[in-house]
Amino acid sequence: MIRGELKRHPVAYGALFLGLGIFVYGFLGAWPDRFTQRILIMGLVTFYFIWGVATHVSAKHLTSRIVGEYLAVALLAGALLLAVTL
Amino acid sequence: MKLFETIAHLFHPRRSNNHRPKVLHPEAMAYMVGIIVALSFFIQFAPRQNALSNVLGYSSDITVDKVLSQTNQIRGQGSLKSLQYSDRLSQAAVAKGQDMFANQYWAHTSPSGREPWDFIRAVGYGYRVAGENLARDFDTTDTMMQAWMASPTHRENIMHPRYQEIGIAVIDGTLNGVETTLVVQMFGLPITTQVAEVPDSNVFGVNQAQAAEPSEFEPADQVVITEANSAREVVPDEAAGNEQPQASTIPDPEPTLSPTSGDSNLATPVEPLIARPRHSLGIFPQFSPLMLTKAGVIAVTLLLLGTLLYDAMIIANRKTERFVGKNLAHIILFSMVLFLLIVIKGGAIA
Repeated sequence: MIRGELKRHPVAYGALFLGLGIFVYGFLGAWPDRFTQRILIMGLVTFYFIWGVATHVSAKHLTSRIVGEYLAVALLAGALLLAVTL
Repeated sequence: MKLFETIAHLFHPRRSNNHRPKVLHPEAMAYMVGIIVALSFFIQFAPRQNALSNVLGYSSDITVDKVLSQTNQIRGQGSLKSLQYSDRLSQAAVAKGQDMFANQYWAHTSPSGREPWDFIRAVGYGYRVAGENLARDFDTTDTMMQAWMASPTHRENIMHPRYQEIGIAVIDGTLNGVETTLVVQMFGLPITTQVAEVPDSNVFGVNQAQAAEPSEFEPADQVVITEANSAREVVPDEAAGNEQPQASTIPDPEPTLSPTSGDSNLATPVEPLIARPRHSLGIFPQFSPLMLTKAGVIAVTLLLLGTLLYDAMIIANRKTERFVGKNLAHIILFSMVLFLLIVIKGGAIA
């Protein structure tokens, strides 16, 4: 299933891996500067939400439910990371 | 039976939840965001006002000897001379740490305007160059030293070739409602082994340090280099050269034998048998706020990841078509979050 999905949307998942890779590199490299880490988390939340919406726009099945789901997932991931940078 | 139905509704894709586990619905995730934010603030900022106060606090293995050994080990790697432990500078460091706890601040300059140099002069330490590094919330000496070395300004203090002596304070206490361990490093290039009268009792006390401030150490022409994240002061040689050496009137603390010598494997151990005091200003802590927060958010992330994987597996087996897809991107995202939550290190420096 995973391999099939990756093969069907190579550009979209390539962009996702690139974005997440840059975030991980920056997040770990910024330690112990918590302020920079929090800024990077905000960037991650924005990136993931935009990525989710953009990939569904290109697939032409964007709904308000999908927008809500990607917003909620992005915010939840951000909250989990923010909690440990307080 | 009702419990089973609720659990199935929350975690198993079926008609009642529109073939998507309820915990993966946007509204459920929005609730989780609110709960995580509220719990994080509760754990981080209100530990003394809740039922967790008996177990919450900061636990670290940082000791003065470990900080000294590792600082000199790092300097040795840069072909720099080892720093000599100075009791006088350590008294200044302890006074600075206690002042931060007493006045509830975290900075090189106190709210009343006292700078690191004021603490150094107050114990009668004459210097040509002096510097200060601060750290808090670290659980090990290794991670704290890594954090200092990752910051150019703190690294510069540790690797400064002119410093000859170091004073270190490791103090447990409560800062802004959170039990923590503060570490203060004070560096100096002494002009002499001077001077001022400091009473025998409570030489570490902030009030004593203020009272003992010697006016003869006020340099005529100071050049102050104050950096954003660490502090250093340089006194021109001409001013420093006017100082006449006098005998110290501060008694040296009685050295005691250390029951363990944890740094025996380090390249440049300095006086490994001297156990220098670690100061405590309250209940000795057991768990850190970061540890509790990490445990909580890792549990939530594992729950989400498990539900996403289970949902993806069920949907693939049933060949159900959904607009929200097969969760792959969410699984990738939360896997990355889990990785970062596991490897993230705590601590703050100034």
